[in-house]
Amino acid sequence: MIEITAVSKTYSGKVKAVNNLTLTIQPGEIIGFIGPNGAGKTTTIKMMTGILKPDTGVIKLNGIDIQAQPLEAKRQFGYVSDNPDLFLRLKGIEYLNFMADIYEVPVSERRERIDRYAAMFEMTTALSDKILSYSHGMRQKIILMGVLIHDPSIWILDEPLTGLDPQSAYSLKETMKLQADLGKTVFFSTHVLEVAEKLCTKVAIINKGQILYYGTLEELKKNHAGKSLEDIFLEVTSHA
Amino acid sequence: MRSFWALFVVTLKNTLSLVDSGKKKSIWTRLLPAFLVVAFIPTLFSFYMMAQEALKLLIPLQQSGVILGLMLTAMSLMIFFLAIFLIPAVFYFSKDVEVLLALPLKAHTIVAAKLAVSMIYEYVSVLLIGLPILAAYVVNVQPEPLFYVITLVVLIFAPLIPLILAGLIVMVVMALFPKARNRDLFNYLSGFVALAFAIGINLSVNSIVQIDAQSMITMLIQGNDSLTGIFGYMIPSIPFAINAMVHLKVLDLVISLAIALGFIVIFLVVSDVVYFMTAVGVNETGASRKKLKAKAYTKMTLRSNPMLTYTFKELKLMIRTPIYLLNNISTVVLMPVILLGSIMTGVGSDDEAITAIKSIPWNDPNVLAYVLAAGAAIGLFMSSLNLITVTAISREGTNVYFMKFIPMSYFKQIQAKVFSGLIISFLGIVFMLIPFGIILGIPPLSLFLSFIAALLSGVLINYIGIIVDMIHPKLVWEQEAAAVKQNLNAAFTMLPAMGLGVALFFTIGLFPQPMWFAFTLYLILFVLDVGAIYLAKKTCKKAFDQI
Repeated sequence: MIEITAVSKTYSGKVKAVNNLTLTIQPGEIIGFIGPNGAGKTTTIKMMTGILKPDTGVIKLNGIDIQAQPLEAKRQFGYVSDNPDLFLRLKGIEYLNFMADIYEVPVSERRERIDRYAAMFEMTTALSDKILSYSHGMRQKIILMGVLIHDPSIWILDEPLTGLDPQSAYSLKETMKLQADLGKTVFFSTHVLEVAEKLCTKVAIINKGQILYYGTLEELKKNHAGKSLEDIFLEVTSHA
Repeated sequence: MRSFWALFVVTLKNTLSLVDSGKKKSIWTRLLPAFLVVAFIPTLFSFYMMAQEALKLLIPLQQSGVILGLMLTAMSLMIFFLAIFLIPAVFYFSKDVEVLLALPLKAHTIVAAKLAVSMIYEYVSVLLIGLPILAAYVVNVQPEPLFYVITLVVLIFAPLIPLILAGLIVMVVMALFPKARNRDLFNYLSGFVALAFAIGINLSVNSIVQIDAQSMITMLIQGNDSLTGIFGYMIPSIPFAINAMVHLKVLDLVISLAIALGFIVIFLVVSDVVYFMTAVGVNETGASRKKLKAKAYTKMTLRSNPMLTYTFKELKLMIRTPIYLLNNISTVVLMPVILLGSIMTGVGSDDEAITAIKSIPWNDPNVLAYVLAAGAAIGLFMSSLNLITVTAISREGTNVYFMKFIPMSYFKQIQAKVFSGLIISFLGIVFMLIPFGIILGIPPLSLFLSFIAALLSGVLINYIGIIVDMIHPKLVWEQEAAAVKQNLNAAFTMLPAMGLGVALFFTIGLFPQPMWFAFTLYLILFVLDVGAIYLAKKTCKKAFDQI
């Protein structure tokens, strides 16, 4: 469960990136976080993960305040950043084992998960190579595997589908659905409306740091009858 | 010309924006330039004094131009040495290369713009060597106003030929050896070539001094700055530049500029033939894409303590990144070799020195105090020289966010970084103390006690290093080299470490009994270590909130 209450963030005392944002995401939900460039998506995600400190407000992950109990809160989620260029001189297998050690995953479980996800993302033969030799999509996959290896109850993903080939994108979406069915919370940002439409139980539309809509896509469509999803999105964000 | 200018301005702006990120400047950032100026004053002053002493001898012999020749040669060598690292980084491995290759630009336009930007990097060397020596020259020779104009022109063009020579070597190597077009391999190669070059220069300077002494005396007797002719062997424009500066001959200045122009033309012509051929695909990295064998897989998926795994991650990344290996780790092996080499050659041929060393009463408490001070100084020296902890956060670059979302406390993470630095410091101390101990015949107990002092001072420097880098990390960089080599944080540990190391020897005399010195040394180092660890713990939360 993710609870974001009255969170604001201003950069350099001038630019209000997030403005009094409140969201509650229940277990078992897949939430698509949608908004134009510079809307405040990444800033919100960075505050949820402890990378940035909010100026005001509280963020709780499974009931644990990320500012008050950072280590306990950080154990609750797995995070995939929008930049997969991480530890490029480690081999894929070294990165996964490093993540497993940091999250203290038992040996038998880490091996079972490495095998499963390497097969799912077609990375089995790449694990012995340095991440430096990977394509953008492969780097994205190894970072995803680094999250899956510790089996978090909350997934926070920033543009996770960018750069993935169709097969891997499909596998990731199926895994997200499976995790939600198991009662886990999935929160991801995206620009692709079709993905949100097919995958999400709810969407949160953000622009200029404020939530403009939070609910199911069906309700949104009902309120804007006869319009395409793209038109609805443009109309909602233009009223910010 | 228009596209050259546009490219030069954009590249320069990008370079400068990496230095000034536009963020609000902290008090540390504001104090840094002042600190650096103060830090460099002793170096600049020592250059000034050397030039002053040399000029006192050279002016009566009408050889004052020699000092200008030495200045230009030293500048050229330093620039060439730095260019061996700089040229591959700027011309081939910088992030903009792939973008530039796709633009409708000629090779010579890209190369000329990158050459111009590289020149700006090198003016730091020009100023560092040029300012004190020219100051001494002006004070002693009192030249006419035209000297200043000519000197300004000479200094503006000083980095050009050494840069072009390095550029030509790099391009030819890239063209002839396609395997060198791998960034890591090239960085390893260029690093070791540069180190070999530095050692070679050391040896050749010694041999020149010995072999050509007779011809130097002849030239000195001739007077009228005839010695300046010897500098032409290295950079052909230097003798003309010296003549122009000493005798205020504008024609010589024009000739030196014409030579520089000739080098530019040759460089651009070569670049039109070679650059595209060598730059295309330069950032590709090889991979085997083989499934891990069962035995290797089992070994690589064993569970380990998070602190241990983090420390090893730090060491792996350092060893596998050529720039870090050369800058952070190679010193551990290199410094003992250089120092021991110079002692062996110096002492080896001198019977008196060997007898003097053998007669040192190592068990005398006074001598032991000096051995302990030497141990502490070696600890300070070797720990500050490897730059590991003082750049540990900076090396993370834009990936520093990783430290902020994993469930491991900041203090544990920085401790793991300090441990990686301590391991390398420890190796450096061992490589330094044991050979010295054996050569000088120091008793094992004295050596052990000095080793403890070295470790205590190593802990101090490593924690000071991480505190400095937490407060003021250099996170915005395009090339790994910038995180280490263009990181001014290093000055905050290196200079105090050197100063403290020297000061230790002077404090021995202040104690009535040498044992008091030993006890005080251990106690102060221990208290400082505890203080530094406490400060690191106190600083980390606040520092990471700011990052």
